[in-house]
Amino acid sequence: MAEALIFHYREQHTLLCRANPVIKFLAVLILCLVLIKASLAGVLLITLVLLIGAGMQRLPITHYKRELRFFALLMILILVTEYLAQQDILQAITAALRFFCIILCGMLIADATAPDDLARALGSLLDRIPFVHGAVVASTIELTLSILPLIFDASLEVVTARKARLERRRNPYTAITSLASAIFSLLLDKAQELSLALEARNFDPARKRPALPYSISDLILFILTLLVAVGSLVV
Amino acid sequence: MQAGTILLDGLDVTKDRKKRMHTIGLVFQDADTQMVGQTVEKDIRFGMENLGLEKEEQNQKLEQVLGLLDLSAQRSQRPRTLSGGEKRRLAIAGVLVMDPKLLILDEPFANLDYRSVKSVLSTLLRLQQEGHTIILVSHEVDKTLSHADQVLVLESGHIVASGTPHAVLPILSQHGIYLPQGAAVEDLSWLKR
Repeated sequence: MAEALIFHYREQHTLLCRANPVIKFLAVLILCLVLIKASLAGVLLITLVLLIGAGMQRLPITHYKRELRFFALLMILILVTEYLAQQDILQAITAALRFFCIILCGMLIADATAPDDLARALGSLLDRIPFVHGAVVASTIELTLSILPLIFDASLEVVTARKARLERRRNPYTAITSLASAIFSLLLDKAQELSLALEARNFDPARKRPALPYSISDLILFILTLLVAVGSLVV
Repeated sequence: MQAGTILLDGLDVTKDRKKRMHTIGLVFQDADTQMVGQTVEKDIRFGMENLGLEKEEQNQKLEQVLGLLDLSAQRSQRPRTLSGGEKRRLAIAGVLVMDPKLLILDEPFANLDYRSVKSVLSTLLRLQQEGHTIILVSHEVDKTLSHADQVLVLESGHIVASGTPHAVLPILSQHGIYLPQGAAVEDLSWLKR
């Protein structure tokens, strides 16, 4: 069966993969904040940079076609509703592009960051804050991120199984509730299996993990992000 | 079976979950459900990190197990993209690096093609020769019986027979277990095909 790959980590030797998850997280945060204030030109600049990043990361967009249809639908909805509300096509395009950039940021960070690396990096950072149990928070983030691809996998499995049984189009309400309950049920099974697998491998969410080191890649990524952020606010 | 006591080297590990998980390596029937790492290397490291092993020791064990289970070429691959046999070997590798005293495999040949069955079986025999204690849960005795030292026959959660492969062979078919007609214990291995 074909597998959904979106929001899965792929090990590669790229700048993004080498960078520390904290810096990647910070870069995404900065870009998302700038996106709120940036004009159309600024948003276009960020879009261009992110697309170059996607090219450098060799993001297999063609493999994501099926999953991206959902986001494409949301983008069209944003475009239409924004146009109807503002009666300004440029503002509508800006809003849709903002959404596109946020999704692309998510895809890039998921493609270049293993959930356990992100947990390790954030855990060591959060541990410095008094009264915060960094390791536990980090493990929670890690498990949440691990569940994300499971949702796509479960959805794909359920939809493929239904198609194979020649499911007929029914009342949309019945179709959606039946599909959602099947996906949720499968997801619960998968979550339970994941929990058993973690237990069998002695997983302890409170265990402190060694921090990941910083490198020159982090400096390059951070400077690039700052340049793009300033540039998109200026244009 | 839902009750009883688990004794390991005379030590009761039934209620001590941590100790139990440390000393017993479990390989699930569905290898997919056992994978928690995003790459083969990360999946193998997962258990060692949970045990708090030093990075150097981890690297050493990782290289050792990758070579032993013939997974070196797949170390950067996503576990879910591996073949059935490779997934099973990865599941074994993941628990093997945790140095369990006992390795329990639940139906390790389920859903595997002929080549993968032979590959997993060879791996298990190699581990057995290296001194690992292995408990293999399977109904496919035609694939493995000749390699077993001790056999327990379970039916409806009860042990109905136990002994050497030669001792239990005559009664296996009475308990619904498939056996090739006229096969001797020595013939019951897919490595001899």
